[in-house]
Formats: sequence, C-alpha cells, structure tokens
Amino acid sequence: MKGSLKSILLLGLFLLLSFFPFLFPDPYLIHLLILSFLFSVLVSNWNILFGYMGIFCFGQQAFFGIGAYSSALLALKLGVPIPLSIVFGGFVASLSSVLIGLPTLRLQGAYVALVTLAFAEVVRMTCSNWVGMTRGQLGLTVPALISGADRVGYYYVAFLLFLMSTMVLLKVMRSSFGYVTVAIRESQEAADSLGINVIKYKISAFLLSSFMSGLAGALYAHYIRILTPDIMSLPLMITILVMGMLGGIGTLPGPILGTFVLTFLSEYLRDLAQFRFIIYGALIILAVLFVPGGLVSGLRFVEKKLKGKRFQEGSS
Amino acid sequence: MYLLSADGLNCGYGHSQVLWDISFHVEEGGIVGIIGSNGAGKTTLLRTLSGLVPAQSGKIEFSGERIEQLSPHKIVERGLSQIPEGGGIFPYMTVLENLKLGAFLPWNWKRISQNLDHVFQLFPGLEDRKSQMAGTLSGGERQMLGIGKGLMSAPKLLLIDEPSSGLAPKLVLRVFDNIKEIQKHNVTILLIEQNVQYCLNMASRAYVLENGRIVLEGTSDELIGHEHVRKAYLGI
Amino acid sequence: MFAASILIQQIVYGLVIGSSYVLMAAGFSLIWGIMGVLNLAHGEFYMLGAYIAYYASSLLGFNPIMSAIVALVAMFFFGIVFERALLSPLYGRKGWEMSTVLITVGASILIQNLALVIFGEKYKGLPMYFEGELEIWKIVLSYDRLVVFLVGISLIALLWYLLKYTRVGMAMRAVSQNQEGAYLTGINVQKIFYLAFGLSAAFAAAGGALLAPIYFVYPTVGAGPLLMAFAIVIFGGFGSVKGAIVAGFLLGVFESLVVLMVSSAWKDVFVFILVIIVLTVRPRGLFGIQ
Repeated sequence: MKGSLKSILLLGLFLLLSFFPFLFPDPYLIHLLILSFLFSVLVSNWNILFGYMGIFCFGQQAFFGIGAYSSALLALKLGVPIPLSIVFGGFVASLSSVLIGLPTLRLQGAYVALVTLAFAEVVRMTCSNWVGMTRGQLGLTVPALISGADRVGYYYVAFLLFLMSTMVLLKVMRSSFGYVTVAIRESQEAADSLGINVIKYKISAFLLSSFMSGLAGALYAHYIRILTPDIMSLPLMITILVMGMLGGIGTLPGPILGTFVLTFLSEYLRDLAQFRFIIYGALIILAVLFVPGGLVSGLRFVEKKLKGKRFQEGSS
Repeated sequence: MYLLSADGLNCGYGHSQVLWDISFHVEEGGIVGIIGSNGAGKTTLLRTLSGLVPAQSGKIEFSGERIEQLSPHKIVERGLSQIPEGGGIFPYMTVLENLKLGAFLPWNWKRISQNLDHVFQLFPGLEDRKSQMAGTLSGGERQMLGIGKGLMSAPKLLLIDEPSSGLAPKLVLRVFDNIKEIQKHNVTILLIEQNVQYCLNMASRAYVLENGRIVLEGTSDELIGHEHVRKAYLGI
Repeated sequence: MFAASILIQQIVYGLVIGSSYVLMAAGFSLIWGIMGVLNLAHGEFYMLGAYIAYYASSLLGFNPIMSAIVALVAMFFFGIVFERALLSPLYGRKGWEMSTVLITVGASILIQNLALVIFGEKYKGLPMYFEGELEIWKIVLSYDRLVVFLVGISLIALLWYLLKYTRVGMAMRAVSQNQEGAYLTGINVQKIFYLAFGLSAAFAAAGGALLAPIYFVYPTVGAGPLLMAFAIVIFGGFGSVKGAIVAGFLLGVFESLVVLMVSSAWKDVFVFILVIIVLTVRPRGLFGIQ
C-alpha cells in the first residue's frame, strides 16, 4: 500500500522535472534546477565515499574542478569536440583520484581528511599560480556546449547526467558492493578479516565517485563558461558537506534532497549573503546535535507515523 | 549489612544482554569469589560494578549506598576499586608514576609517600623497577603493579579480575600470597577467577557464574565437594 | 647561494614563528591523544586570540605579554564551554568520530563568519610594541620577535611541566593511554576532557595573540595555522606532545626557508607536499602514538 504511494509520488516528480521547462519557462528557476542537478551529482558521489564508506574525503571539490578545467582546456587548446572533452574531463578527474587515493588507502579518519584536503588545496593553488595555462584568477573563458542563450538544452543535459548518476548509484549501492562499503565503514578490520579486499573497494569507490564528479564539473564549466580556481576552494567543500548533512549522509535520497533544498534556500537568502555561511555553520551544528540523519531521517520518521496510523485503520 | 551487594542485576551492552538477574553479597573483611569460564560474563559484571557500563536494571549497594547510577570515578571515591585484567596500567608511564596515579584521589594524594612506602614494602620488586616503563613489564610484574596501584587507593573493597590469567603457576602463587597479605590489611576482596582451584583456595565463599546467571552459591568447602563443580570445572 | 648570515637569519625567524606553531600544535595533539577528537575549529581559537590581542592592545594599551595572558585565560574558559556544549553530547554515540569532526567544522564556519560580520573583513595591523632590535653576529632580531619567542618557549615549558609533574597533567596522560584504567583510578575523565580542551584553546589563542603584531589580524587568519598544526602533528606523531614540539620548530624553520628560497606564495604547497610524503612513508610520524 505505502510502497505504491511512494512510487506514484516519484513518478509524478519525474514527469514534473521532465517537462519543467515547458510548464514553467522561467529562466531563473531553470538555472537553479540545472545547478541543483549538477551539485546533486557531486554531493551524491561524495556521499559514497564519506557517508557510505566512512572515508573522510575532504577533497571532492578537486574532482569537480579538475573535470571542469580539463574539459575546458581540451576544448580550447586541443580543439576536442565538447561532448567528448566532457567525458575526458571525467576520466582525468578519475585518474587524479588514483593519486589521492593511494596515500589514503591504508590510513584512517583524520589522516584521510588532511591528505585529501591538502591535495585539493595543492591542485587549487597550482591552478591559480599556473597563469600561463589556466589564466589563474583572471578567469578562463570556456566554449559553450550548446550555443545560444537558451537554457533548455543545458537543462536536459544536466537532467540526463543527474538521472544517469542516480541510476548508477542506485544499482551499485543496492548490489553487493553497497553492503561491502557499509561493512568497511563499520569496521575496516572486520571487513579485512572476512577476506574483503578493502583496497580494491576503496579504489573503485574513488574512481566512480571522481569520474561522476568530474563530469558534473565539466558540464558546469561549459554552462557557466567562466572558470576560476575558486570553484575548487574550501567553501565548495563546505557547501557539499552542508548539503549532504542536511539531506542525510549515508542514504541515497539524502544528498539529492539536501542539495535541492539548500540551492533554492541559498538563492532566497541571497540578501543575507554575509549571514549565509553563519547559517550553514549553525545548521551543521544543529544537525549533528539533534538530527544526525538529516531531512531523510525526518521524512522517514513521518513515514513511520503515517504507516502506523494506516495499520491501525486497516486492522480495525 | 553487607559491604557490597547486588540484587536482580541485569547487565549488557546496548541491545544485547549478557547477565541476568544477578544477586550476590560480600561481607566486610573476607574474600569472596566468583567462578566462571570464558564468556560467562565475568568481565561485564566487574565493569558494571565499577560503573564503566550502566546496569540495565537492578540494584547495587555499597556501604549502604546505591551506586548503580554513579559515574566510575565517584565509585572509586567511595572506596570500591578494581584491578582489571592485565592490571589496568598506563603503559607509557613509569612504574612509579603508575603507583602515584593509584593514589589519585585527593585524600590519598596527600599521604602519597606513606602509601608508597607501604606498597614498596609489600612488593620490593616494584621499587627496583620504579623508573621502568610500565609497558615493558612482564605479565607477572604487571599484575603486581596492578595490585600495588589498587592498594594505593586505600580501598575498602577491591575487585580483582582474573589475577592468574596468563601467569605461570609459580607466579600465580606469589600473586595470591600478595592478595592474602592485602586482605590482612582490612581490604575486602571480590575475586573473579576462571581457575576454580585457585579461587576456592583463596575465597571463603564463592558463586558460580554460568552463561550469564549465578547457578551456585556456597562456602568453598561446599563447592569443592559439589558434583557439578567437580565435573564441569575440575574435570573430575 | 645565500650568505650564511641570511640563511641563519631565516632560521631564526623560523624558530620564532615555530614557537607559536608549537603552541597551536601541542594543544591539537593533546586533544587528539586524550579524547580522540579532531578539532577543526582549532584555527578559530588562534584567530580569536589574535583579535583579543588586537583589542587589548589598541583599546587598552596592553603590551604583548599581557595581551597573550588575557587571550590565554579568556579562551581557556571559552574552550571549556565549547567542549561541554558541542562535544560532550556526542561521546556515547555511534560514529562519534565523524560527528565530532562535523560539529567542529560547523563551529569553525560559524565562528569565522561571525567574526567576519562583527569585526569586518579588513586586515587589522598591530604596531610593534617594543622598539629596537638585538644584533648578534650580523643576525638581527627585533625585540618584538624576541618577546614572541621567549613567551612562546615559556608557555611550552609550562605545558611540559604541567603534563610531567602535576597531578592533573599526569591524569591527562593517563587518560590518553588507558581511558578505562583512568576511570578506575578515580580520575574524572569528563573533567579531564574539558580541562584539556580549555588548555588547547588557551594555547592556540596565545599563539594567535603572540603572532598578531607580526602577521595581520583578520577573520580567516586561523586557516593557515590550523593546517600547520595538522602538518606538525602528523609529522611529529598524533598524540605526542614531544613530537609536536620538535616538529613545530622544524616545520617553522622549513617554512621560513621555503619563503626565502622559493616564494611566499608556494610555502603552503611545499608544507602540504612534505606532509603527504611523510604520511605515505611513515604514517606514524616521528614519535608515533603517545
């Protein structure tokens, strides 16, 4: 009974999103949705490492930025057709994850946080200082994926990426891979002793997570069309963290929910720009103290209450 | 009135319960034993008595006061100390520092040099090694240190967790001699042991803990003669 | 390449900065060893210490030593409140390591941005207090910097004494080595937690206060020292105060030399790379656990 109601809601949502640009042709809303799609991909994939596997990855923003810059530079300097450069962007990000992944494989918690953070900062600073290649803080102008000012094309490409990422993650996490990642999070030693090749799983997770994040970054680059090294700065990582925590890390719908809510919220809070991060900080603290499961756990609580009621009505 | 008594105690961790309906008592001035093989729940019981793990239900009374809700350091303050398995020592501090820490409580800290002299008299081996890192001590020496440390807290009752574990028989006898010596100085002792013979030799009364429940109770003579004890624990 | 005197001059500067870095790192390491908590808001304690020094100096005319003491005391209590309010609710929980990291990240963001709103984003400068400089064998050291070094060393020595010889210090070491054993010794572990945390905040603030006249004071000034503290603690070994001291001076000098030989812009990169190398080659650091 309950299951089919959820499916109907999801189907409705899917249809709404599919036809959104025609139902509500407001370019501003469409822009927000595009950003939401791209960031959901980023946060969801970060969640695989952090929420599911317990890897304190604090460098996800580097994958986003590497994907962005790689695709932009390949298109600009080598004339690679853009759809292809975007895919390559994903691959370059994936490759870079091997570089970070390696030192962190045998490390735990705190160490991983520092290494990934350090790596992201090194990448950002290199990007910033290597003005000859990337134009540093001056900004890199990126060719468009879809010419013309109309956002609808970008909307559907972003939507497609979002769907693809979500389906891949769903499939992967519902399979045995998903069980293993949680096992690794709970206790790496236990997983090891059960014969699980922890290293292999960690590398696979990094490769997948970074590839998707790189794709999102590349698409972002060709949409926004101006790139500065600031896209891989710490504030982005913080935003990812808040989006994940708000929605509920360690779940699949959590990051998506958190991203959409926060993207729209921060736009409406635009006037309070300086207070934005103060609110973020307070949100994180409150979430950790009182609602560690994020919005998802809140919704599940409501769901349980409704289920309870229905059960009672049904039996009487 | 008993120095220590437990009544209907249920202990465990989170959702898993390890001990059911534990009741026992320890009179002042004696040595009481609890016998149980591995997995019977001995260590859980001790950790609950010392407040490291909250009891799920039931009561614990020490010197007429209910202690099951108290935090561990408060329980030590009231005179109930424990020597956990392995001695509960601090590996990267010297023997002397370990002993000093035994007298952490303010009233003991003031009388630290007297207590130290007393302990060194009992355990001259410790005085020899006083500048040695505790982590480098052998098993028997650690046990000695653990007991010495426990003594420094001038307790009314000492819980001792498996003092014989991992020790060669000769060392075990020495440890038990030390325990008997302590008892003479007005310290009541609750001894948890896997080895029935050792335990019943030391204690005047004992309980048998099996699968999380107390199944037998009696004086050591009674228990040594008991059929179940002989079959299950003494292999006779 | 460089005249010996210039090299030595940089090394001396490195030692001065290093003394404040050690204050940051020692507290960070202490918390890690005793509580197993990674405090990512540690940089904010430094920053608040710097602002306290700024206002103590510009509004009340305090000299650097007084300012440092004010910062020390004020942030000690702040640290206690912080630990009790934000960290202690999390200890019993499953996954508390992640929760504590996250909450300190949240606190860091909150404090930094509150500072931004309250103090403004402008870099504030403090004039040098003591005029004049010391000159030995062509090495020049301003009196201000000398004071920073001396106060820093004194505080480090104080910490060392505290940990080694006092009852509280021994209790702290005990908790970091065997928490249950510490409880069984009658040590109030929760109290040790907040005292240690207060201490780490106080020392970080002292570091910030001391360096305020040398570097500018601004809301995000704590980020660099935090990463430095991280680097030092990894290099010296998590949980080892001795390691933090040695590594702190070493890295202070290293950073100073990088600034001389490469450029100031790349100093962070070099330190990071050094850290990554150390983590890969010898994850335990110089002095390992404890």
